[in-house]
Amino acid sequence: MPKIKSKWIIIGIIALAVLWAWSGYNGLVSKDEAVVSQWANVESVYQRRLDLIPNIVNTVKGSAAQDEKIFTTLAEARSKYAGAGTTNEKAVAAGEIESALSRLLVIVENYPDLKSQESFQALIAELEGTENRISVERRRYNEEVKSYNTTIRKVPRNILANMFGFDRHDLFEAAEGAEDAPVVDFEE
Amino acid sequence: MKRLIAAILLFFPLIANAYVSPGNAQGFVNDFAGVLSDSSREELEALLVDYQKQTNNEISVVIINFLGDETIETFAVRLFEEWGIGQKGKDTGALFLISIADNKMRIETGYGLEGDLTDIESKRIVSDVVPPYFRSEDWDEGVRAGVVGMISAIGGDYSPSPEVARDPNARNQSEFHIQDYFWFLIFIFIWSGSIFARSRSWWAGGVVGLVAGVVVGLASGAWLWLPAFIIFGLVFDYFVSTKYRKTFMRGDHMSMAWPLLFLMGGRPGRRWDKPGGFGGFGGGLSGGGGASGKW
Repeated sequence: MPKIKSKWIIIGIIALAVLWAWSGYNGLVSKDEAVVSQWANVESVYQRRLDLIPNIVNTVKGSAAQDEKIFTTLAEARSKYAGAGTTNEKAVAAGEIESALSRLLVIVENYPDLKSQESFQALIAELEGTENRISVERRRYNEEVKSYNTTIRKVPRNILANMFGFDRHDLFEAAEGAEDAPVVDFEE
Repeated sequence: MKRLIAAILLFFPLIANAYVSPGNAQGFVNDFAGVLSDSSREELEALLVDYQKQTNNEISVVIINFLGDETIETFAVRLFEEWGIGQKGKDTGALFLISIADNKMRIETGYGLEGDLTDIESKRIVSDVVPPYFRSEDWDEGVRAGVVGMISAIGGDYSPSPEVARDPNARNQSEFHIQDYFWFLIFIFIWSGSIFARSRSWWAGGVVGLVAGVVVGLASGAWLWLPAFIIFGLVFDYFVSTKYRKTFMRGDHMSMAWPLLFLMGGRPGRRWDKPGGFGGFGGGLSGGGGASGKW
């Protein structure tokens, strides 16, 4: 009689452990997926910025042809982003595009004619919106990563995370002032 | 006491870059700064309710006193997240945020409206259309101009219902809405039912129907309905005389009390009368689209 009883207790405990591991594992998977899909959102707004650059360059080039260096820098940064594979590489390349863009905008300050063009102002409105979208999606990405990283490090889920190889995701660090979008402000 | 509070506040850590919620949404129009006139606020609210009913897009106007340490871009997107403006999943919402002390405003567009209310259109509204009004502190007209600009930028086939149209003549021609008289009709119905049921006559209903039909005919010229009123009165009287009596009347004292049940609690709220007023936002999300401007 006692033997049978302890057997059932053991089976019960195992069943509970399996159930816990099951739901815990699934929870980790959804959190991991949330990070991945939020990174996809970040990439799509990066792409939006990339698509905008040729238009800006074409508009600016007409008036500011002598500042040729910035256009090559921008083009290089762009192709670097296109060639980037990992999340980290992409983040770095995006940072370079960002600083190149801010420099371009500083240069534009010297060309009042350009600034008053309607087509240029429309482009700037687009760029402003895009930069703001990037900072929003990036913040959300960081929030997802923080929540995921906390979960996989906390007892008892850290056991599961170790067992199934859930690794930390990298936060989007502010690289050379990349945290703040380039300030696009021509109204002052 | 005041000194104590001041001392406590002094030691409070200053939280930089923290978004502080302005509170819960009171409607589509939320004037936390109290700059809009009552009539203008109601007019805008009615317009936005009507707009939401027709298009399912939710446009919210929020006016605050100051932003604190937050940029208007972050404030707008956080508030959007908190309130969930727009339909869930479709994200068809937009926020028109105005901060009085900062002289700044922003249109924040939900994901689902980014294609219709583009950044360029938003920029035009916040930097060309609205600022002249705000510079002369004409908040009522400025906010209205902004909202109308947003609605027309989004486009679609929205046309304001007569009640919310700007033209005062159009607005005064209020139409007859059966739902406005719903409780009154129910009451009349039950009251007359209990009276007809107690009377032994079967024709009283027909007479009342005739009178009602004549009244309606005189008032609206709809004489065609006269026979319908009479027949309805007769059938109604017949029905209550035979059935109602058995069903509802267990004693005379109840027959009079029954209709009174419907009067208890007074007039029902507008919520019931006019479905589709502000009932909270849908849970939409924005992703930083839109434009900011200042005046």
